[in-house]
Amino acid sequence: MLIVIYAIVILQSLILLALLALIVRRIFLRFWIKYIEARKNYFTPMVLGLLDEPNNITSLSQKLRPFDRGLIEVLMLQQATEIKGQERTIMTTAFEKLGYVDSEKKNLESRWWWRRHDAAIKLGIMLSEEAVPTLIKAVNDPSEEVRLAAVRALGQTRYPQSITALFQVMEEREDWTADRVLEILVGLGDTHKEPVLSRLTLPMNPRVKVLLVQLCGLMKWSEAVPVLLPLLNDTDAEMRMSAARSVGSIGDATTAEHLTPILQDEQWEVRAQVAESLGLLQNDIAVEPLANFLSDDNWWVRYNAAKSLYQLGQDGISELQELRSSESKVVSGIAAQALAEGELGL
Amino acid sequence: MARILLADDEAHIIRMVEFKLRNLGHEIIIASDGGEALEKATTTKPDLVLLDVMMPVMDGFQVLQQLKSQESTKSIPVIMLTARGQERDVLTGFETGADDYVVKPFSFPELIARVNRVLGKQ
Repeated sequence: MLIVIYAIVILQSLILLALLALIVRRIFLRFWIKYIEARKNYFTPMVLGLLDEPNNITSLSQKLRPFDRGLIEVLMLQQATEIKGQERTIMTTAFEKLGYVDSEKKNLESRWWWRRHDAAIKLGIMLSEEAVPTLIKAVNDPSEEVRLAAVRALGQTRYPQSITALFQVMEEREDWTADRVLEILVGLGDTHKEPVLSRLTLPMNPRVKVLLVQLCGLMKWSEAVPVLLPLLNDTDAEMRMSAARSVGSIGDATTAEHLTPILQDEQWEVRAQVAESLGLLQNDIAVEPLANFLSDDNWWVRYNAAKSLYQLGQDGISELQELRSSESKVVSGIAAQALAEGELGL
Repeated sequence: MARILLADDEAHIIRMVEFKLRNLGHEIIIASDGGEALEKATTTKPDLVLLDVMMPVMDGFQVLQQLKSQESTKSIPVIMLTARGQERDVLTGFETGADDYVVKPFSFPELIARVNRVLGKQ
């Protein structure tokens, strides 16, 4: 009986303690949040004022306490992500002068992967050239998340050495990184056009070369055409296919004469791609060669050729109407399908 | 100086734009969602509305449409704030009656120039 009473008393005390702890925690949190808000309100005008008066850095650095450093960093990072142009440069200088770049560079060498990951993301926002060598090192980090963040950060900085490093990553890594770098390069716009085009003329890992060829098409760089045309006769079928796709995407009508002979390619995937690209180039010289491929052995080649004929306008449509009455059921069938789909706007 | 209604659901953007425009002497009214923006535009009759596209309750286009359909608010000029990569929204904005647009991230000199231009037209 006594044991039961003891047990109930102990249990009640434990519940009471837990409740007390919860209340204390709640009170503490309330004050903590108020304190943070007050400090935020105190520093916000100073951080915002940096844009108008960059010399405010001096007064801001004098007021920095260890806890405030983190708070000001958050405010500055938020501000930096929402602005561009000259004011962005001011923010980068502020990050450097207040020592945030140095501390994040240190964090990028932390033993904890999440710290390294956060540091890479922050350095990508800070856009400091000082951080580029450390970010380049982080591209070979054992953690995939850190590698990805470092690659993104390098892309964001847009310094020539960052772009060179991204190319190197593409060549050296056999995992997902190369594809991810391609996405980043697409996001960077035209800033890296020259390095890409000059790289394409050099010997390199074929997988990377294919990615760069695709990049030229995605970016519609007409300057890439002279580099892409010889690749239509490359020994690698994937390269021929990618080159044909990019030439089509760039849309220079005069390149149709270089594409039409590739309709004879031994690989059906290449022929299908060439047939599709010829439709994009809008050059009537493709009408006859495309019509010939409505009897190809492969359905995709026939389908793309017929679809492209429709895209070529009146001449192509007339050709399809004629072929609809062909004796060959294969030819008449695909011509009828392309005409029907075209009329439906598919 | 002008009375400007700033409608955005992101507190730090509001803080930044408010700070900049207040420094230029403008009176700033804040709304943090589409519904509030519409209500404040109707009651306070601002000289200009800076309207974010992506907002809770009502998006920027819905607010714009409502503003342009009400007699009391249809003459208020509106500058749309749109995120990078959503430039197609610009067309929709112009079709609905927006006077101008600014793509985020901002260049403040650009934002201020556009605000001044739209206010100067009035």
